[in-house]
Amino acid sequence: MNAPSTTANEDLFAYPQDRACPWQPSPGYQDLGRQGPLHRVRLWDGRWIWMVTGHSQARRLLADPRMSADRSRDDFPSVLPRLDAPIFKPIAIIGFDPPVHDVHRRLLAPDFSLKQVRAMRPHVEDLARRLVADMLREGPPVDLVEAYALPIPSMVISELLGVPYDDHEFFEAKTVGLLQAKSAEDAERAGRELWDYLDGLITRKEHEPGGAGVLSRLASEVDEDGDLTREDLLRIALALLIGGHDTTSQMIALGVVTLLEHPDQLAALRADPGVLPAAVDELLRLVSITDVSGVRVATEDIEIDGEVIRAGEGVLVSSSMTNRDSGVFPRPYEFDVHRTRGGNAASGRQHLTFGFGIHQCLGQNLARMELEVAFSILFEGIPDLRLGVPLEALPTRSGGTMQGVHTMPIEW
Amino acid sequence: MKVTADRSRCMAAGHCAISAPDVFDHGEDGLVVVLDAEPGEERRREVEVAEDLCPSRAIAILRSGAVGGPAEAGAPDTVG
Ligand code: HEM
Ligand code: SF4
Repeated sequence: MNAPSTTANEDLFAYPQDRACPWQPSPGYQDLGRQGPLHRVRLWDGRWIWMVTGHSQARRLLADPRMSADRSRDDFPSVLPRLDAPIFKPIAIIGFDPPVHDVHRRLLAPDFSLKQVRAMRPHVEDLARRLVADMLREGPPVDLVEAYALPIPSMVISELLGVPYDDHEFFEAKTVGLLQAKSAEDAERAGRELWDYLDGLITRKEHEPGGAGVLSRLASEVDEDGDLTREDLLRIALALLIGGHDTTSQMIALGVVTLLEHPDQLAALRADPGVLPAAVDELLRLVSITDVSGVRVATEDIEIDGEVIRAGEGVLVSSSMTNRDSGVFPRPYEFDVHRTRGGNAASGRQHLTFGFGIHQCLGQNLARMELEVAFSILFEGIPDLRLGVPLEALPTRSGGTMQGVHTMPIEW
Repeated sequence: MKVTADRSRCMAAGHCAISAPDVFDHGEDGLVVVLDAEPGEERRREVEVAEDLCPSRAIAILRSGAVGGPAEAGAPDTVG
C-alpha cells in the first residue's frame, strides 16, 4: 500500500516540475522517459504514485475498467493541493466511474458531436474575424490572451451552455482562481462562487423553460429519482464551464508561440491550408497543454510490463511524455506539421492530449474546431504577427500541471 | 471484412467517422452508426485506424474465422 511520507519516498522524483520551454516537457520528465515506461514519483503530500510515460502502457491502463476515476474514494491521489478541495471530489463525468459516468456523458453526446461542431463553425469564424478586426483597430502591442485566445473558447462555451457572456469576467477569473489555486481553501472559495452563480442561473432557467443552450435543455430533464438530479446538473454545468475554456484558450496561446518559434512550420501551414487539421493535432501532441492525460486509482492488482500496480495505488498518465514515445512518434521532440503526410485523415490523433478510454475528452471535436479557426484566422488577418517580448520573458504558469501564460504581448 | 460497433460502449469521440467516413457515422444521439458492415478490402487500413483510435474499444473488425477484439482491450471482458 501507499505509505505516506516514508524516507524511501523522499528519494523519489518530485512531481510536478515546471517546463523550461513552453512546448517541451520538463527536463526531469525527459530523463524519466528515457529510463522506461513506468516510474514511481513523489507528490506534495509525501505519497507516491505511478507516473506512466510509455504510450502503449498508458492506453492499456486508461482503457482498463479496473482503474477508477472516482475522486471521492479515500485512496484517490491528489496530485496538487487544490485537488483536495471538497468541490473537486465529486466532479461531474470526469470524476465518476460507470454506470453514472456513461449516463451523464451520453446526455451530452449530441451537443458535442462532430455534426453539431461542424454546424457551429461559421459562427466561430465570424467571432474570430471580429476579434482580429478589434485588435487591428486597437493597434500593437496587444495581449493575445485577453484579446483573442480567451474570448473565443469563452464565448463558444457560454453560448453552447446558455451562460450569459456578459458574466465572462466573473467566470473566467473564478475558473483561473480554481485551477491555479495553490491551496485547497483558495480552490474551494473560487469553486463555491462559481457553484452559487450556476445555481442562480439554473434557477432562472427552471422558471423560464425553453431557453437556448444545453443547461436549459438539461434543466427540463431533471428528475430527482432518475438519471439526472438537480445537483448532478449543477456539477455538470461546473465541469463544462471550467473544462471548456481555460484548456482551449491556453492551447491557442501556446500554439501561436510554437508556430512563431518555428517559422518553417508556419510557412508550411500557410502554403497549404489543407494541412490545418494535421497541424492542429501535431500542436496538440507537442504542447500537451494539460500535461496529464488522466489520474486514476487501481481497484485491483494489475500486472503491466513486469510490474504490478497494487489495488489502492495511484496512477498518473503523462500526456507530454506519452506523446513523445518514439515507438509511436519518430523524432518525437520535433514539431512537424507533415508528420502524418500520406496517412489516414485521423492518423495524427494517436496522441494522448485528450486522454484515452471512456473519459477521453468530451469537448475534443469542439476544441479542434476552435483551434483550426483560431490559428487560421489569426495568421490570415495579421500575417506579420510576432511576440512582443523575448520567448524567455513570457510569464508562464508554474507550480502546477496545466500549462499556459498569464499574458502574451504580441506586435505586428 | 466484417465490422461491428458496440453502441453500448461508444462515448461519441468521433474518431471512427473521421477515419472511415464511408463505414461509420453518428446518429442524432451522437453515438456511432455503422453505414457499411462489410466494407471492401480497400477500406481495411482506414477501418484499422478507427479500431485503433476508438478510445472506448467499441469498434471491432471480425477477422476471418475467430472473432478478434481490439488488440489492446487490455482487461478481462467484464465491462458492463
Ligand atoms: C485543448 C483543449 C482540451 C484539452 C487538452 C482537454 C483535455 C482533456 C483530457 C486529457 C481529458 C481526460 C481526463 C481524464 O481521463 O481523466 C478531458 C476530459 C474532458 N474534457 Fe477536455 N480538454 C480540452 C477541451 C475541452 C472542452 C472545450 C470541453 C468542453 C466543455 C472539455 C470537456 C471535457 C469533459 C466534460 C471531460 C470529461 C470526459 C469524461 O470523463 O468522459 N474539454 N479533457
Ligand atoms: S471512435 Fe469509438 S467512441 Fe468514438 S464515436 Fe466511434 S465508436 Fe464511438
